[in-house]
Amino acid sequence: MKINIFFAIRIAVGLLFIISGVEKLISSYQNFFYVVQSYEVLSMPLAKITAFIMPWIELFLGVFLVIGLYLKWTLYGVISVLITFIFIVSQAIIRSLPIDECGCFGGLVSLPLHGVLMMDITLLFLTGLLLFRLSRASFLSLDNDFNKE
Amino acid sequence: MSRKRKNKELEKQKIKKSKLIIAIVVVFLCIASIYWAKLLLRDKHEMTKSLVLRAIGNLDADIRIIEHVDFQCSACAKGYLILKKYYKEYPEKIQIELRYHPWTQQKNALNSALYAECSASQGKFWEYTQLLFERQNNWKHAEDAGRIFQKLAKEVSLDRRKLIECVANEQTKKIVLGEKEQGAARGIKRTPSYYINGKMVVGIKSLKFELNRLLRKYEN
Repeated sequence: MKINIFFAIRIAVGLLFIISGVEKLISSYQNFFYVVQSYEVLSMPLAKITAFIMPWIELFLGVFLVIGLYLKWTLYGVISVLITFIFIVSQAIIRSLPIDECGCFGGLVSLPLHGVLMMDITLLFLTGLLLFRLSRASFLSLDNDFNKE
Repeated sequence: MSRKRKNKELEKQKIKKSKLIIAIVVVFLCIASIYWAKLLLRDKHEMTKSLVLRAIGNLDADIRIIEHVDFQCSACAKGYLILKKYYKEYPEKIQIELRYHPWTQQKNALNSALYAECSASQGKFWEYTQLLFERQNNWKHAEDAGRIFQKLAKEVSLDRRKLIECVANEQTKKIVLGEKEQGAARGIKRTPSYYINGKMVVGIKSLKFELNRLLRKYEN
């Protein structure tokens, strides 16, 4: 059986975003708020808003990626989020901020900043690939079902 | 021809609408699932009544703080200094209780908590933990931190023999790790984390913000 690698990548990236979002949402909001503050990019009110909104964005992007709905826009969304993460983590590394682990997956996995930067860059590349080969990535997606109709 | 085109347009509109409805349903289901999951976990996170074992301050204080700390965590050391400053300024308004939350993957975190618990049993808990935090850099990465902990114990006149017996006792480990488990069940994922009048606050920035807010409230 031929495996559609783009479909597999889409599902994997989608699940990663879902897990990341869910873990942050089910634990206390204060935990992720602390993570956002640690990166010292946003003021307190903006950090609060970001801490509230970002996990939901991750969850919705992940779900839409997995079910393959509005796939093109979802992929643009994922790319935007990843670019933002790469910027934030990079500036934390450059400024040598005292952050031991990124807080990316809530309390599930502990990743040092360099590790998460590599992961985000890899994900960005993979997502770019999905956008480039959208027709293949749309295998078993709701978008495809609607297009058939 | 134009009829065909019209039909096609109608079909496109229909598909757009269907997609939008599905998107809205999916978003709604996601939100509902998260709130249902949070509700299920809520009982685990609610604080159980705890004995005031390691508490300082006025029992009727307006601001009651439970801090979950790892003695090896540098942010916890900073948090300790902040709380000390606030407590010095407002001793009648603040009550502080400390809970152990050692990150066992850290070299000397558990050991430091064991020594702290054993200092409590000799009535010198706050004096000893003050030294632990103030001299954190001396023992943090030490190979034989036990020796350093015993030196600190001498400074606050702890009985060395009793201290060593207590640290070696499995019951002490049970207390410390049990407290960590309780903290995890309450949603503690980072240190320092604080429950201030029942509200969870993580990190020292939020600690200062919340303390200032409450002090303004109770001053008025």
